[in-house]
Amino acid sequence: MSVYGLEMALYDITTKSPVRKQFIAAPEAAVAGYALEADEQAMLQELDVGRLLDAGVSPMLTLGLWMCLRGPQTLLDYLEAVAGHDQGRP
Amino acid sequence: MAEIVGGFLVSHDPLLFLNPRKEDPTRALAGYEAIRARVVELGATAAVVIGADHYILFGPNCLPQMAIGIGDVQGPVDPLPGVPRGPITSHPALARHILDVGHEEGFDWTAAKTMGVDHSIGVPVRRCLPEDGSVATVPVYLAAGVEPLIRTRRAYELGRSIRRAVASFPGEERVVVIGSGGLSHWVGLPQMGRINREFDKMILDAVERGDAESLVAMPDAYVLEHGGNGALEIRQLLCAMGATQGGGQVIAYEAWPGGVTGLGFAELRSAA
Repeated sequence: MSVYGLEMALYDITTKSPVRKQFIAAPEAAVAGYALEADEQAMLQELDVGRLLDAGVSPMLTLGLWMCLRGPQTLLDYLEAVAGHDQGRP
Repeated sequence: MAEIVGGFLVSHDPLLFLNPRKEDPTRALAGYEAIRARVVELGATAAVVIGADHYILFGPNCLPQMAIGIGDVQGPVDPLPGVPRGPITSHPALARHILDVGHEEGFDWTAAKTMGVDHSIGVPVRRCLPEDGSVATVPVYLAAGVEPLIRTRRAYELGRSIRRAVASFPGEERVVVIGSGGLSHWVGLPQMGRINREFDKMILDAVERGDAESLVAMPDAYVLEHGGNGALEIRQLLCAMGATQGGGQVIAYEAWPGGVTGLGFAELRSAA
């Protein structure tokens, strides 16, 4: 389990266009380059922002990831996805 | 010699511009216009704009406590409707002087020889400064959004260092300092959208009194509970208060229903 590894992957997806494009086109291949366990890779591929928060990932990144992939007009959907979750401590 | 002629506190809620709930932002946006008018009235030639990274500029591989752009500046890198993007007029000489003075005094600035700012600096630059680039920007980032956070007292003392640096800058610059952020908001957390008016009033009251000490002494745990993780940005306010050393006056406050942040706008007086 590596919260910081997860954060690195989220940061790259949200800020680097080539990584984001690869993640959208071939998510398994995109996340394979990071030191992540299978369940962590699944959280990313499933855009499970609630579990990512629970794992301790910064809410700046979970929100940023969602906005990048789903669009800035989907904030209410994001809030629904994280309802009942809270940020853990890495 | 150069001098700090005033300061401002602004919020930078991106939802003011994205507006997914389709609320009227006119009143909320008026705060930026009021500050722009005051910047012009003060005859400002440069602005030190203090923001917080939102895991946009700096990644897990390097998280500076305090960073300053000493070369070309552009942005904001995160696109927002109604917020122009592109080159920002910068002030490399003043920025480098602030960095050098800070290093001499024990503030280990991280230098960015080129900097693409995010909305926390991009919004105040584009909305509070004249559009013609006549007020040059010195961008400053504090670690207030991503842990490990800069200590509140350190943020305040850094502002005092900026003040000393401006005072010793060999030029005639008239400098304003803008602290961007700070009132209640929960970023990316389930409480996102909650605004705590009482907390916001407490912060703005302290700003008006020039009471930095009460903000410095406020534990992060208290801020997180009552103001949310976004309110940890009081660090930018403290830095601006350290740079101005006077009291302040609230220009406007809005708990705008279309956004997720208590929107506060205030002017800071620079001590004589």
